[in-house]
Amino acid sequence: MVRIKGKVVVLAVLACLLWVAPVFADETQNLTNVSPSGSTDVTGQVQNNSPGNVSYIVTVPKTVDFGTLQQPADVDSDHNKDLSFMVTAKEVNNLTSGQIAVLMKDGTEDGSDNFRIQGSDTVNSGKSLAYKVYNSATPDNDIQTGTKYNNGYLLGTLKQTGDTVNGILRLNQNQLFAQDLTTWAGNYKGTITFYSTITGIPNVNNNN
Amino acid sequence: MDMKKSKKKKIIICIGLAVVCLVAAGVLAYHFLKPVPDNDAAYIDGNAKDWDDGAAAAGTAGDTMQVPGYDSAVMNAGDTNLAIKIGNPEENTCYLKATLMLEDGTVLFESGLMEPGKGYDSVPLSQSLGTGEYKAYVKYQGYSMDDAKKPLNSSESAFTLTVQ
Repeated sequence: MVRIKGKVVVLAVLACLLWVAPVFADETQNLTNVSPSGSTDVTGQVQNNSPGNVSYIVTVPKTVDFGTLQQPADVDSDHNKDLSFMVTAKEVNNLTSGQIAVLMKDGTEDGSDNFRIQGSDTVNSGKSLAYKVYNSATPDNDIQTGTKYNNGYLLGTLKQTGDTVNGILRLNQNQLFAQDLTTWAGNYKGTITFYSTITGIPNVNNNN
Repeated sequence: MDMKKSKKKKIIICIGLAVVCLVAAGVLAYHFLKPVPDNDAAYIDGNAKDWDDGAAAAGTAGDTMQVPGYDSAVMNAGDTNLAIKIGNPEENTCYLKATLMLEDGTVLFESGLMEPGKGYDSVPLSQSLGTGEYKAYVKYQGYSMDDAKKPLNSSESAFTLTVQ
């Protein structure tokens, strides 16, 4: 009777060890959960390069930093603060046809279409300042006057290494006119999400 | 004799219970004391290896960041690894976190913060896929390299994933 009970204890211990072992195994996968992002439009027509290899490298700005903003004394005219930026094809490998379309959208992903920077201090928490994005080639061309695709608004296209799309982020400081600076002053932060895809020329306009 | 057997039995039970308690305590301690990655992935990816983006020309990123883009990737149905070069170009001066996703939001792989010059030549997938053609993308989220690891701009590189 003692031997049987002894075996039961040993089996119980082994069962517990087997129970905890998968816990440790799971921890070695080193993956985290993230919330899913938005949908993706891919209308690739180009067959090039070895699958899985890097087909191109684009250079995009790291930050959105308008520096110091000022409250205008009037709104008789616009008081724009411009920020120039570039998106460059640093490397394009064997793109025999098609081109790389570059789209942009605000990085907040809260459902709003506006590009904006948001108060990051306690004082200005909840405040936001909107800005527009222009393609420098056509300075009056607010990219948001074009088609809104699932992944943003078209900034421009890149075809080969060295191609560049120049853009302007424009914040009209008239938004600060007559505002109480005790609740608007402080630091503001914003991010942009760029989107790139290899596509045929006609598909740039039907990429939705 | 019976008393000896009874005492032996009690000792065995006590030892068994003590082992169970120690193991359970170890598991609980591990879970509560281990560093928990923030959902914004502020942990450095120790699994990322030295990585070459295959670009010919070197240069400096400055106030910009370089982001890889893809045309296509191929895998076999049922595979749980995808051969795709995901990494942080060595010219960058920021961390990149990469998330491989399908257009429906399914996350197939997520890295930690990859240092410049680190990455993967193939990645383990959270699930296998059936035969077909999928719209997928790698989202590269930038983070500053100071202690704050502030989120920077991000860039999504779309491609076609063929499962055969």
